[in-house]
Amino acid sequence: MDTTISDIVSAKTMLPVKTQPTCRQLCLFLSEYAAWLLGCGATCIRLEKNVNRIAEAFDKHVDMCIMPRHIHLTVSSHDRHISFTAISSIRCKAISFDINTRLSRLSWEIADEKIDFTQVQHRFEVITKTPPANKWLVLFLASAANASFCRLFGGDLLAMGIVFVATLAGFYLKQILTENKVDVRIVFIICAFVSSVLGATDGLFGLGTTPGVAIGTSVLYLVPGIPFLNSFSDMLDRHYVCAFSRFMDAMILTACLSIGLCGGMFMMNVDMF
Amino acid sequence: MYMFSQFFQDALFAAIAAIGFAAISNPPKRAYLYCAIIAAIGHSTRFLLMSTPAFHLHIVLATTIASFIIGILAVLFSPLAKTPAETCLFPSLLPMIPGMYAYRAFGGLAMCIYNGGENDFSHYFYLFANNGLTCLFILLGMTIGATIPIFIFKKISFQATR
Amino acid sequence: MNVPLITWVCIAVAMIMLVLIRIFLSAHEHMKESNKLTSHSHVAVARPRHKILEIGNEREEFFAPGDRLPGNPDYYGDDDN
Repeated sequence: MDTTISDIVSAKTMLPVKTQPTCRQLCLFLSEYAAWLLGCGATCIRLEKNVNRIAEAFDKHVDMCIMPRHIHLTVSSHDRHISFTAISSIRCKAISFDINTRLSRLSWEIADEKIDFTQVQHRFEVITKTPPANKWLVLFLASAANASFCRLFGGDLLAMGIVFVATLAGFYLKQILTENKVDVRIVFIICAFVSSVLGATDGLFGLGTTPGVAIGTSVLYLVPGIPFLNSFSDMLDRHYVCAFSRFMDAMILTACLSIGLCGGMFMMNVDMF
Repeated sequence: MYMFSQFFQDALFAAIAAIGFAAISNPPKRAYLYCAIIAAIGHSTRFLLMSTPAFHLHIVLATTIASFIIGILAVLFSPLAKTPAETCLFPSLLPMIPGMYAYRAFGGLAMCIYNGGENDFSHYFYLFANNGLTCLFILLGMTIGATIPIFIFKKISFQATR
Repeated sequence: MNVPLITWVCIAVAMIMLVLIRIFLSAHEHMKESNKLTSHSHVAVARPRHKILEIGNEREEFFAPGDRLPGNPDYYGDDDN
């Protein structure tokens, strides 16, 4: 009986063998996938689970070394006779849970639907081109969020209004500076300074009853909450190198925020300590 | 009655804060509502645990318990939202991030160096250590509290996007 | 000299100016684009954007006579750039 290549199917995946990616193809794809997933703010454990799931779906074995700015991946065949190693840099994009969700869903689609590797690459390309949220909406929502924070810390209505305006100004400046590729640390210092000066309005003009709360909460939109949470999450999962790296990133950004805030408080003659 | 209105206000503003800070991290659109609900419940729970005379817990313990509740809700809602548990979880935790403690710690450190005398130095170093340790332990408590449900309900949390 | 008031005024004015300039620039670009569409101009002039502040290349900042230039065949990239 003659058999063609298309008649031979993988026992595990039930896909014709010819549509299976080679170790090289899968490794290059997975290193790109991992770089994007980690760059979008996923934790190391989610990355490990997703990558292992994809590799198993294609009947391959994968080993990973997750470093703060690089990922080393080795994909090998099931019998370990063929293997390919790739190193890729993490895509330093803004945190995006939307892309994180879509990439996680893609890994399940690969595992469940047994889709062709060419389709996988195409879907991945589409996901990486996901546009970010409307920047004006984000600006408004972030300002409203910070004003709510002011209320949570006991600020009055006037303090809330001042914090809203201070956050609007600071966040708008942050968007402009980020678009112009200014170093994020400089951005934090400048935006914290601007927000704290504008947040001191009620203290300067003797308005309202809670001027201290206004200046204190005017910079809270800059606190790097997600990097802090990710770093402790990685620490609990024993990825200590990544945890420490993320923690240091968050600490440096908080230090820059404090520098800007202290500068603003010094210029506005406000004593908070 | 006053307590009830304070509780409700706390929940409302925590929900608005969660939506706003979640927007910065680009979550999927369907996750906004779940983040708001979870954050409202979690933050108001913390408020309850800290303010009511019956409990009067320390901020670290109250945050850990509130984060645990947030974690459970995030894991339960993640299949409904079709998102990983972290997508609903992390933005909901953001209103509880100890931002003021963090920058007060750095402010205290800066004032330590700025002031020369021993008494001033000791005072500002106390502020640095107190605020810094409180911040670290709140973050640790938050992460532990929020992560435990993910590992208890592993099957739900890692298959939510299936 | 009221330093806080002067600081506040400077920051407030700077932010207002920034917003107004951005609105003006975006309106100007919008008008230019709509003019281009109506005039069917095929000439695309790429204007280089001049940055006011820029961190220079290490080689440009620390060049000393005698350093190897990138175009030199003997140059084998012994620095990090």
